[in-house]
Amino acid sequence: MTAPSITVELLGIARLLAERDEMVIPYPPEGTAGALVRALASQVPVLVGPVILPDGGALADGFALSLDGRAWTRDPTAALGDAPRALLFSNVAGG
Amino acid sequence: MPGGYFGRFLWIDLTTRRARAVPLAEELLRSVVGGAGLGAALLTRLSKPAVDAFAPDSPLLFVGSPLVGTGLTTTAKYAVVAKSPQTAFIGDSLSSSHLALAIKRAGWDALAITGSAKAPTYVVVDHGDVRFEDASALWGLDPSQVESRLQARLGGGCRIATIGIAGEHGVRYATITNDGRHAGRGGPGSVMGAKRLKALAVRGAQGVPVAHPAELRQAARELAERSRGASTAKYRLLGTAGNLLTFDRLGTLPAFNFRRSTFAGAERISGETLAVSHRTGTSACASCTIGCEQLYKLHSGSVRLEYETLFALGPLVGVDDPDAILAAAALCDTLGLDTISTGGTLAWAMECFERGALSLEETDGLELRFGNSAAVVAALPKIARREGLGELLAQGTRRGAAILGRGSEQWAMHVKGMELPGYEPRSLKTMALGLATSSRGACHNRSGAYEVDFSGDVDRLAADAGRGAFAAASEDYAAVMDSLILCKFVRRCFSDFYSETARLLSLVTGWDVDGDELREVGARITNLKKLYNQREGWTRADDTLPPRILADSLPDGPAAGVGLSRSELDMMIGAYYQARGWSADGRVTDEAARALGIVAADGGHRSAESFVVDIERC
Repeated sequence: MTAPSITVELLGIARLLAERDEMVIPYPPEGTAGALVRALASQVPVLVGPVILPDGGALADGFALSLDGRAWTRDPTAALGDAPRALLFSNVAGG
Repeated sequence: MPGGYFGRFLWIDLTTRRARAVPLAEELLRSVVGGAGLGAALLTRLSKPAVDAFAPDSPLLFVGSPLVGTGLTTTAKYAVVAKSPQTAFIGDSLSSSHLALAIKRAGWDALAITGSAKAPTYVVVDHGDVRFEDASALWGLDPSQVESRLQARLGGGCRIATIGIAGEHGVRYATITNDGRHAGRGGPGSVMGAKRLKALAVRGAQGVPVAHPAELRQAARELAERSRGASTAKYRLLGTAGNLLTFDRLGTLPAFNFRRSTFAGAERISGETLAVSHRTGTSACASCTIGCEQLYKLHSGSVRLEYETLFALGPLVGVDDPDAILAAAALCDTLGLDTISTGGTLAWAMECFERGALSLEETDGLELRFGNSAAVVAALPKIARREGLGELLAQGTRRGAAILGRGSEQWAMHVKGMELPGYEPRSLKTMALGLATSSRGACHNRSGAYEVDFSGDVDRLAADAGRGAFAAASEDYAAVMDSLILCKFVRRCFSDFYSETARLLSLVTGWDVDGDELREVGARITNLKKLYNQREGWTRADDTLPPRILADSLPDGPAAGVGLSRSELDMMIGAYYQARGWSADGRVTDEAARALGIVAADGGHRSAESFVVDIERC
């Protein structure tokens, strides 16, 4: 059974731009990372461009989504499974 | 002489108080380009084998690059290269801004300083003239005071590199400061202090010749435009402090002397929080269109803060008070202390104290417990002056543990004597390999192997032999960036790094360089550094990680239960040596050296260890 919603914790410039720490997104019927990113883009349009590609369905270069903190993906077709939480973060380190 | 170079370096000897110009052959320059590469070549040539880092004969090099002063963004950089007093291997550290431009405009590709002054001295390089001046009145001053006094005394256009009190007192992780920036890792400030050289003042106004000026201007405009785009937004909007909270969430944030990989106070001190609560503005190095420097308010004034400083003076020592971290960062800048090694050494000492290996009497009454920010701030001047407890801590973790004993070697977190940066090796396996094998010790700049882990293309939590080639490629890539020199924050502005940067180098120099040649340059530089280390006594046992990393699994967080065994590390190290074409015990083979055009100084061929820097193109 999947959760009715998924909480996306925003990290880095996503948090700075959105001016909030996390977003609660209704669980997308498609059950994919791309659908989640699309829903996020519609709720937080300021992320479109710097964090989410203009078509709204994929993350911009340098950003990734993690469902468990152990692994992450940039693949829009990746399955969300029953994860209640996700991290949206920059996977570019250094400095 | 090709564009971008003057074909000479200035050799300054403090003992004889003489200076002379030494020509640099075009073949050598093309083989190692500049920066860290040219520095490795010159260090090998100019230093005697097994010289002590603090001996007068030990050279201290300030090395520019062909791209400095050409208008290309992020290229106002230079490398400080010397034998590291921390590792006794090659030490190379980069710094930025106006001093790099001044050295170039004075007409020098590098400055080499040998000897030792009888009394505190500063050297003025004013175009082609060199003067040796009394620095007695400057001894004991902090870098910003020295800079302002010398600029007032010497007039406009002079740029200053100087040391703080830590460099004067021989703290093995002392920095050299210029334009508010620091060449810190490896302790070059203490090499400068051993020479009683308080400061170097450089002025120059020569234009930098380039081979194809019109095309270069166009290329510079295009690169500048890309540098203002999405690929650098993280650095411009948040700075590197933005790493901390993400690293916490991913279980890669070292805390409490690497006993944990998450930190309960991460939110409170995160870059995201500081951007709202403490940020006062941003700034940029000279010739930079990114502007990554984030300035944060102190009780008086402001301080620049990077992730590594935030990690080292925060979670690593258990401190979650942002004001205390900022104050400690500012104090390190004032005293001339490398913040990573300072935090690493304090974390080791805190664990000593909490385990009873250091008594209250031995810490001069400081309750050196994790999280005690007041003790951190109080310890810093003691370290810089080597007073009381500071005499032990000024040695760094490796030497400190060897002196103290009491089992403290087990929690001394260093590689080759250099304290670890803020990347947890157990949950970043490719980085673990990069840290273990890097020529300058535990380093996140000479090996950017963490990029492989963060790409998501590998299982970062698992070790496999495939990491050997990744780590080698990462080192060679960094060697090219550090030799051109380009800021690593511009790296994602290139879609084909080697071919695009080869074109930039060709436009500057007039050489017909392609991407394959630059790849070979990267491998050559990595091998040269390794050969230097071999000459200085490197053995296979030096490529390793601290005992804690190889014994303990991570206790909590998303990487809970993940460890790294010695056999896993050895397997990856073996794969790395194989990828490099080195022997099974990690030595550069004659064949590997020859394939990169590295030959013996006298033109003959003996063994890999005897190779120095006369390099012929095959």
